[in-house]
Order: sequence, then structure tokens, then C-alpha cells
Amino acid sequence: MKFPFKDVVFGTLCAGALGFLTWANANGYVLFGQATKHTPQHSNALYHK
Amino acid sequence: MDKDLDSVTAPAASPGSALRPGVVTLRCPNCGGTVLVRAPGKSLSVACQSCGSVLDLNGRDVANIVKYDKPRIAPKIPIGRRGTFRGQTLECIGFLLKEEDGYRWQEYLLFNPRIGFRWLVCDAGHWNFCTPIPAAPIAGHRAFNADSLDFEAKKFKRYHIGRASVAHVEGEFYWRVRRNDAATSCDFVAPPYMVSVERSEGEMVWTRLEYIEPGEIAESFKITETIRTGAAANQPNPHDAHSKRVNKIALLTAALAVAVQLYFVIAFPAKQVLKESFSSVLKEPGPVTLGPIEFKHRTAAVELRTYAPVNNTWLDIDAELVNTDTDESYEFTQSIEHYSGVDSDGAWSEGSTNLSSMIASVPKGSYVLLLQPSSGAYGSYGPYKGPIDVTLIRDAHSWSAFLVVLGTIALYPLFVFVRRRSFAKRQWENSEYSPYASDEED
Repeated sequence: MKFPFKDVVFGTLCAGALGFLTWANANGYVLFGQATKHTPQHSNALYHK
Repeated sequence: MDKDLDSVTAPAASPGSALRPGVVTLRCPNCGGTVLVRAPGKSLSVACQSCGSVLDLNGRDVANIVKYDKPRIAPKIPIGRRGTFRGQTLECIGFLLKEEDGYRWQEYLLFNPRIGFRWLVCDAGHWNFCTPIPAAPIAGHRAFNADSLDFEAKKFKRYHIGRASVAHVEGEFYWRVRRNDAATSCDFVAPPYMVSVERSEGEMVWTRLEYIEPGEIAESFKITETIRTGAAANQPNPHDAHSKRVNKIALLTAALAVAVQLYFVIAFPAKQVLKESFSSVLKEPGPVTLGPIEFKHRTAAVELRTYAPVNNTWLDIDAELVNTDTDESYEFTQSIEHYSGVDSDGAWSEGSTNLSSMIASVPKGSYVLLLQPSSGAYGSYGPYKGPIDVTLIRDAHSWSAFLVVLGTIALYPLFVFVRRRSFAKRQWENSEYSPYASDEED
């Protein structure tokens, strides 16, 4: 039986997807999140008015 | 010229002779050429290898059934070739070229003294090994009306009913075969098997066909491997095994994804950390400051839910969540719009009085929430002047990453499914009973 190369690649992709999901949940990552993060040097909005 | 079979004897074997014990020779009454009979006593007809005339081996006499002057067509397995196929030695003793509506295929009669006769069918480079079925799976008169039949614990679907005739004959056969002999047949498929019933002169013959890879035939009979075209009716779908494996991997991954998502939802439940209400009309210039709010334990998503009963106007809120320890801030804008009215079609409304915004990866720490509302007139309606309710939720769970992961892992199995189905549709495109016929009509 020849080596199931495509299955290995797909399995690796699935493992990567699971890893991403775990990381996203562990870090509160949101796809299509609405906020823009500003560091203190670049913060220019309400807090400093 | 008739020939007395008793006067014919097998020649003495000589080194390198191709003749084997049991083979007898006779002379063709048509052309005088030598005719070999490889299954004497079992074969009832034999085709002369020189001129193609079909001879009747009728006991002691050899009668000319049909005289031929047609050129021979070279069979893929030469007459007389022996091969070992799945542990059995079989000799090719006969070759038929069959024809139906201009379409042709080849049939090879194989013989083994212990097991008797078998057939190999070659159609567009695809091979089937045929064994007789002694007991009919269903009654003969029902065979040509049945949509399916059950045999060997499998369901066979009807594939084709047709009438084929003999276009060319070589070698010997266990019946008196003639060119243009015709028979009606009905084929049922359950890949890699097929069941075929043939009806001619009131007789019904049932045959079991098994799809064989061309490489196996080439190795068994030492011939050139045939090149296949199209998809045979009972050819195993080459994507079946791969599809099963891919689906297993995808389902396992989906189950694990659900488990991961549920773990975080249950282990880190969403918590309301702030609920306030204020007027959109500010007494003092500058943003409304809410907090301090303490985010404990870990980096997590934060959700701001805002409610304002606007009607026929809009309300924008510039929001900023600021870490009072590090001065890092998260800025976003919420736009709440809601319009309603009555027209000739009745009451209508659009927009919403609720809005939710997700902020990703907010580290633990002490925060304040700054909100700057603004509103304007819309038509005859003035700016919004009313309460604004805000709720801040820590450890908010977004399902967007989960859905994207599920969508991504479904892509490849979907691709494999399409390929598998495409092959199956090609298999059935020559059948008038295709289950995919409605797809093509659409």
C-alpha cells in the first residue's frame, strides 16, 4: 500500500486547526474583533482628552 | 469436407513443441489448415486459426458451420496462452468479439480440466473475471423486470439491458457458436461485482463478474497491460477508501474541536463585570467614565453590549477600554440605528436598538471604560435623547474561530466527495438506469 501522503497532510492541517482553536480560546482571540489596540505612545483618543 | 475425428491423433511431443498432452489436431475442411482442439470432448465448436471458419465438433464428424474469409482480429490473450490466475492455471481456448449497437468488446474462454470453463471479459481496457452462477438469484421471468436483486449478501442495481451479437470467433467453445448469434442480457452491478443474465433460445445463463485490475491480468497471462478508458460499471471507485479515511479524520477533528470549545466555555464561563446606565445628553463635556473594572486571572475576550431605544435616528458611541496600569487602550465605535414607519405594504422597521462589540485578547489588569455618545437629526426627527444601557462581560466566548476551523476542515472532505461522486456519475453515464440522471436533467 502506498504511503498515504494526502491523509498525512490533511491530518496535519486538522491538528494545526485544533491547535489554533485551542490558542484562540486560551488567549481570548476573536476573529473579526472590532477594537483597535493602541500602545501608550500611539493612544490618541478619549482617555487623553 | 467432413473429417472423421477418430482418424485424428495427437502428434508426438517434441522438445520445444507447443502442443501439450490432451490436445488433438485436425484439418480444416475449408482451407486445409491445422486446427488445434485443446478441450476435446468438451468443446462443441472450434474456429480454424487460419481462415476463421467455425467448425462443428459433432462427435465423430467435423462439419463446417460457417465459412469465413474475414481477416482475424488479434486477441489480447493469444489462443493457447496459459496463465496462473489466483492460484488456478487457466488456458485461453476461445475468443469472441461481441457487438452491441456498434460498440465492441472481447470475451475470452478459459479452461481448466478441474474447474471447467471460466471467462474473461475485456471492455475498453477494463477486465472482468466471470464464473457461472448455478442457481438463479431470482426467477428468470422476473430478471428483466427487476430494478435490483440480492446476491451474496449484496444489493445489485440494474445497469443495462441489451442485445449483443457475436462479431468474430476464434478458438473453441462448449456450444455451437456462430457469427451473428445474439442474446439478450441484463446486467446488475454492486462494484466490484456484477451479475449478468443472458437469455437466448429459451435458455437463461447467470454469470458472476468480478472486476480485475489490468495489471493482474497482464501478470497472470504475460500480456501487455491494457490502458483503461472511461469508468467501468462495476469498477471500484478509486476515491472510496481515501474518502473514508478523510471523513474519519475530519469527524475526529470536529469532535475534538467541539470538546475544546466546550471546555473553555465551561471552564471559563462569561462573567458580567459592569452594568451601568447613563443619559445620552451629557451634563459635562467629555466622555462618560465607567469603572474601575478589575479583569482577573488571564487574557480573555471582552464584550460590550449596548442598548439604546432609538427610533428613527442614530446614535454613535466612541468607546475606549483603557488599562490604567499600562495605558494600553482598545478603541472602537458602536453605531446604533433603528427606523420604523408605515407605508402601503404596512408597518416596517429596520436596524436594531442593541449592539454588541467583541474586544480580543484583553490582558488581566485594572481598566476604565470611556464612552462618548453622539447623535444627530434624521428627517423630521431630532437627535436621540434617552438612556444608554451598557453591560461589560469578561471571558466572552466568540464562536467565530470555532466556525472557521470547522469550515476549513470540511473543505478537503468536500473536495474528495465531489471527486468520488464525479467518478460514480461517469460509471453510470452509459446506463439508462442511472441514479444521477436527474442531476444531468437539472
